[in-house]
Amino acid sequence: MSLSATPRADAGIQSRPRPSRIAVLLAFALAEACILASPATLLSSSRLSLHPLVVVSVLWLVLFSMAWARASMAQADVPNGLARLAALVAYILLATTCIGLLGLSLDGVLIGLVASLIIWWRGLSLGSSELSPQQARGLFWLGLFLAGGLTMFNTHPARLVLLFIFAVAALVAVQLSVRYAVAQYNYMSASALATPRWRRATFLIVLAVLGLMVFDSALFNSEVANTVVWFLIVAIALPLAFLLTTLLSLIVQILPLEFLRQLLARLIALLTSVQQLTDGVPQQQPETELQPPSTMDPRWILFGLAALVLIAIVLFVVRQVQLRRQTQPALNDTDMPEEDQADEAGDNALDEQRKRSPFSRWFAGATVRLIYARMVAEAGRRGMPRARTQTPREFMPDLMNAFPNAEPEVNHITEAYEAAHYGQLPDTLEKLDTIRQAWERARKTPRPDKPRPAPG
Amino acid sequence: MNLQNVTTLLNALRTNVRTVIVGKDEAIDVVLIGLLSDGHVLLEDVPGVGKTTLAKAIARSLNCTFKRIQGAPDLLPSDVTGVSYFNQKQQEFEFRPGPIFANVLLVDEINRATPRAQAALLEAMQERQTTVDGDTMALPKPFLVIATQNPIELEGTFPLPEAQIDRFFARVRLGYPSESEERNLLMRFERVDPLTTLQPVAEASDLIEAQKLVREIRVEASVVDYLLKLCRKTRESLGAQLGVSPRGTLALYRAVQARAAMQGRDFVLPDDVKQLAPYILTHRIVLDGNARLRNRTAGDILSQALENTPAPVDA
Repeated sequence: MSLSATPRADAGIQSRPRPSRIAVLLAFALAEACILASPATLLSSSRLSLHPLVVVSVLWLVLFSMAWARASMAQADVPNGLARLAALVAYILLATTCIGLLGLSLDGVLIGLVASLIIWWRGLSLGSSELSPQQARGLFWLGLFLAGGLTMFNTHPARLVLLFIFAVAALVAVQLSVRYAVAQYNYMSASALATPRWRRATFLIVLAVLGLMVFDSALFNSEVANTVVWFLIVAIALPLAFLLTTLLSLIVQILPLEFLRQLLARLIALLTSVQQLTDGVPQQQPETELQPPSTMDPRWILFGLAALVLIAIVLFVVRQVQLRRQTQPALNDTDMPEEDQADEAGDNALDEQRKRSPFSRWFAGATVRLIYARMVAEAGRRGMPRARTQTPREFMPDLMNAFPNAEPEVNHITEAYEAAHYGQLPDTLEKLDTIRQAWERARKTPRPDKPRPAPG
Repeated sequence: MNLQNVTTLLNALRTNVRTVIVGKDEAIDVVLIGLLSDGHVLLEDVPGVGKTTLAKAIARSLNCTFKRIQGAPDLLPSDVTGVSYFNQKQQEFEFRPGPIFANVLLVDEINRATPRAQAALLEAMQERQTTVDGDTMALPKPFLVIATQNPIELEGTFPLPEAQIDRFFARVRLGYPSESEERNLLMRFERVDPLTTLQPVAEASDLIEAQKLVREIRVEASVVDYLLKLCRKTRESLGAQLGVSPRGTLALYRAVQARAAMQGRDFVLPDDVKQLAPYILTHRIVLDGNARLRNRTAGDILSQALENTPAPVDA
């Protein structure tokens, strides 16, 4: 959480009642329960007999219990082994319940496992998270995309109620988390204080629900909207089909033949329905005809996959925006006292460490290693190949000869490479650009006049 | 204690020892690395190059107990470990600890002691304990043996057996100083021996803390592979009757960690392995008859292994 030195007393918020962590957690859990329950509107009643609102209630209870248990265990300093055992038991209970609700067919088991895993993960994550306003706002927008996107593609009567509950819960979570954070940490950044007020929040909810209703109506009643969506589905289905084929080739090696035969039959059915969709002939089935329990409507598989791709894109964009914001200096920090600036610098450093994901660090390290490998290859082309027994430091003089007038750059890249390869995953995320620039400068240096013979 | 403290501690020790030992920075560093890795060091060179002075300087810099054993043919194991004698006043046996109960033990001219006396050091060097009259006693921590031997005069000496020599973490050859270093030496020792005025710069407890921290220095998997390949190549080399033992491999691993800490790094580089391999590995390689006849040395075997082991670099 990014905290800046705006004193709480000056902001005049101290007099407000402090919400308890339980209340904040309840709001967060409700919002997340709505998101997680939104795929239930896609399932037919033969697949899931529970009403989506019942699903929301159950999920709310489950998420809250898990999160509260997780937070309590952390506070009580419960031994790791016991905590892990509890988490395992919780997952087994969740998985058996989900599978039981969805039926013991292959797709029921698969959906049940995935759903229980996601619920389990979210429950534990909520318990260990800070429940910050930024997180609540992220939840609101992400949920709007997810729940909105999923409920858009069906005509379930409960979908709009579900969306409404979600929007209210998410905005309540924003409000409560702001107050909770202010009470907890004594000060809060200006941007966190500038959260939507109640009127603004109500307006936003109404606007969001109305917009979704209009879009929903247009989608299901307009031929143009339908055509656009079908085109989108096909565009998404093609790369997914490629991925599916790759996955299948892996599965072929580990699964029994009978299972594969069934899977192939399902795939053919899926491709046939995609073909029908592209031909503009919706699959018409008489309502009286009972679908076999093991056969899923292929459309919602596609919708689910499309939603996953959408989630990935949204998460990527959000992350990029976050990273960009982190690198920009705060404009309102210039008149801050030195002590506060130091505090904030410490907080920011901690935040940086916390937010830097293992993936981004791995990526930074891999990039540095790639740049070094390119530099060595370029040195080889310039007549100074590396002997295979030479270490980076031993090879540095040769590199300096290969890239004349670029000694600082060569030194910089070599040191960064050593840290990236032999050290712990490096703190090179911020320095990555300087390393790239150093390589660009080194690459553009003229070739040496007389290349030396290769060592070794 | 953190990595920066360890680096500062080692720099202080190095600077202090340098006030007595002129030049020989690399040798000083290897002895300090031995100290930091909880290993023992064998100083091998001709007389008068400063082996004993180096050992004394390190002991004084550390403010810990220092004892000395002079290797001689009549040295008995009890002269090393201590002896139980009968106290007539108390009417009971009392144990009088030998010089081995010290933090830094200098065994001068170790190869002049008899194999019996040398064997008394075996248990102490490896297991940090000694057994006298059936009683096992722990040695103080830290415990560092600095032994010296003269490789020239071999008459009347008892060459160290392989088991004994393998227990030494590193072997260092000081060598003669250069002309400028020797001139500097004359000026420094002109009026007073700087060893007498040497002040301690660290406590033994600091060293123990530093030894613990050094074990946490990261050695990346590819560097571990490199180190292992290098050690294994010495066993496969033509001319080597015995290659580096697993204890030698472990010693090299500890040494590279200590070198990284000494240079303020929290990770090990392949350069550390290359730089330290001659000090840690060569005395563990035993040449066969053919290699000796061809005047090959353990250093040649190691150089060959280094030339045949690719460095772990992405390129």
